[in-house]
Amino acid sequence: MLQINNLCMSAGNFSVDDITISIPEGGCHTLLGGTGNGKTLILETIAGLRPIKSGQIWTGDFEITNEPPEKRSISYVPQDLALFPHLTVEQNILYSQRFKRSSAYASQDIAEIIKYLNLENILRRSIHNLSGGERQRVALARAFATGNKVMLLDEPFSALHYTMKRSLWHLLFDMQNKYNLAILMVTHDLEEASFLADYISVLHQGKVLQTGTKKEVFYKPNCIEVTNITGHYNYLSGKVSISQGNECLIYCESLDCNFSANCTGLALEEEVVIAIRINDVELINDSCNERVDGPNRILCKIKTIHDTSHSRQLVLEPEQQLHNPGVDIIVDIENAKNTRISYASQNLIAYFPHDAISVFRKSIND
Amino acid sequence: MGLKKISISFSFITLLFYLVLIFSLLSFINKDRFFEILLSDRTMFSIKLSITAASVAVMLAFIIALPAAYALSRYDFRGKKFIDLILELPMIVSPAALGAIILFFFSTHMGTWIQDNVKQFVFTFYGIIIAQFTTILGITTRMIKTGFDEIPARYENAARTMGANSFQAFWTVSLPLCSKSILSTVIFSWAKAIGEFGATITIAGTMAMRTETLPVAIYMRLSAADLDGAVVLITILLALGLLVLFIIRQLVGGKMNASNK
Repeated sequence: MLQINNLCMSAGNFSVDDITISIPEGGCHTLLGGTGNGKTLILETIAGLRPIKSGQIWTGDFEITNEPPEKRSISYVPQDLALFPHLTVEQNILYSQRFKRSSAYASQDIAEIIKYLNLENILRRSIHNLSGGERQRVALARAFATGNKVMLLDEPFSALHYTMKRSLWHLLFDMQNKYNLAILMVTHDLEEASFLADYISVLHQGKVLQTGTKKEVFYKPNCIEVTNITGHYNYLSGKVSISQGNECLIYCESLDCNFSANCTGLALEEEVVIAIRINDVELINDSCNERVDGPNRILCKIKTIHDTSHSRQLVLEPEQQLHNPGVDIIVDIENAKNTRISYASQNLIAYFPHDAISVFRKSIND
Repeated sequence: MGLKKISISFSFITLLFYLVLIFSLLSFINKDRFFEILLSDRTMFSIKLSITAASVAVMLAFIIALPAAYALSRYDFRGKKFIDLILELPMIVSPAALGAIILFFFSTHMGTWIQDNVKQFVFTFYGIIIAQFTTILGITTRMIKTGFDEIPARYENAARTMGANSFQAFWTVSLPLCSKSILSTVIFSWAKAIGEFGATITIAGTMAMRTETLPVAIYMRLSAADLDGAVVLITILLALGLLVLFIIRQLVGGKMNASNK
C-alpha cells in the first residue's frame, strides 16, 4: 500500500538517508528512535510537506513522489494534532469533505467513525474545551474521515496518561483492521511499538539501523545503538575465549564469569560488549542447589528493589567482582522467568539464557 | 517609594498630559457655533472626502498587503530581508518627505506619462489617495504579517493533507484564524489614513472644497485664524480616533491566539 524506496531528505544541516519501507494494506510499521533523529522529518516528507532529495514514494500503483500533499491521499496526524481552533469538533472531522474526492467516505461512514470513536456527544464543542483524550480521538476521526488508506501518525498518544493511551491503542488497532489501513507511526514508546507494529525500523542520527519484525528488533538487535533504543540492557565487557560455528564463549574478567552466546564472525581474544535484556534474566534462589559454576550464571545478592506502577526492578550485586567493583546487574522481575525466587533471599543466582544475550564487537567509542 | 509606585506614577503623568491637552481643546469649543460649523457644507465635504479617500487607500493597500504579508510570513525567498526593511520606510521617513518623493516621481518621464495618459494625481482627489496609500502600505503589510506569524503553519499543513490545495488552505484556515488581526489592522490603517497630513498637503495642496481633507482643513482654518472651525474639526478627528481605538481594543481583547491552543 505504501512503498518508500531509498528516500533521502534534509532539514538544515540534518539529513536522513536511504529510507526504505514497505507497508501492506492493514499493516503497521513503526519508526522507533529518540528525539532529534529525523522521525518527524520522514513523516512530513512522505506527507509532501517537505522536499525530497532523492528516492520514490508509492501508494498502491501510483507514484506520488512529486505530488503536492493534497493529491497524495495520505492522512497525517502531527504530534500536536493541529486541530483547527476556529472550528467545532464536527467541523474539524468533516473538514476533508469540503474537498471531496472519489476516495472520500459517504456521510454514513463518517457517522460510523464518529460513533466508533465515541464523539457523538461532543460534536458541537469547541476544540478549546476538549480533554487530551478527546482531542486525540477527534484528530484520529478527522484523519479517518478523509477516506485515505495510508496514515502517518507522529507520536499521537505521547501526551496521554497510561490508561487512556492503552484504550486508544485498542481503538486504533480496531479501526486499522476495520478499514484496512496502512499505518506508519513514529514513537519512542516501546510498549506502543510492541502493541501496534508489525514491523519496526530503528532510527538513529538520520539512519535506519535495523528493520525487522518486533521479535527481530527486540530480541536480535544488530548493533549496540539498537539495544539502547529498544530496551533496557545490562552491558558487560569481555573477550572471546572460544569461537565455534554460531556459538562462542566470552570471558568477562570483571565478574570472573563465562558467557555462552549465539554469535558469528568473532575472532579469539576479540574484545566484545555483551548486552543482556533486563527482563529476560532468570533468578534462581541459591537454596535450590543450582550449579553456579557453569556459564551464564552469576552468584549475586539483592542490593536494592525499585517498584514502578507495572514492574519491579532488582539491582543485584555480583559476589565475584575482581577488578571493577560497582558493576551491578539490573533485572526486571515482572517479566522475568523467576518462578523460583524468594524475595527475602540474600543470595541469588542470576541466569542469562542464550536468547537474552547479544554480543557486539567493541568499537573505539565503547 | 518602590519601583511599582514610581512606574505607576509615571503612567498617570502620561494620562494627565494628554487629558490636559484634550480639556484645553474642549475649553475652546464655541457651543453656539459648534453644530453650525459641524453641519456646514465645507465641514461635511472634508468629512466625506477624508472617509472616501481613506477607504479607497486602505482597500488598495489591503489588496497588496495581504498576499505580500502572507509571503513574508510563510516563505523564505531572495530579497525578503530587503522588502522587510522597505516596509519600515514610511514609518521612519517624514510624511512630507514621502509626499515630496511622490511629487518627484510624477516629474519623471514615467510619472508625466502616467499623469497625461492614465490619471492626473497632483492637486487632485487621486493625489490624496496615493499619498495616504504610500503612508499606510508599509505598516498595513507589517501588521498583517505579524498576524500571520501568530498562526502556526502546521494548521495549513494539516489542511493540505486533508485535500485542500494551498489557496483553499489559506482561505479556510489561515485567513479565518487571522481575521481579527486583519480587521484591526484595516481599522488602524484607515484611522492613520484619515489623519494623514504631510504627504497629502505636499501632493494635493490646500484647495478648499477640492482637496481639503480633515487634517488639511484644520491647517487651513488655523492659517485663517478660524479657531472655532479648527476646534470642531479637531474634535471630529479625536472622536474618530478614540472610536477606532475602542473597536481595535474590543477586537484584540477577544483575539484568539491560535498558537497557544
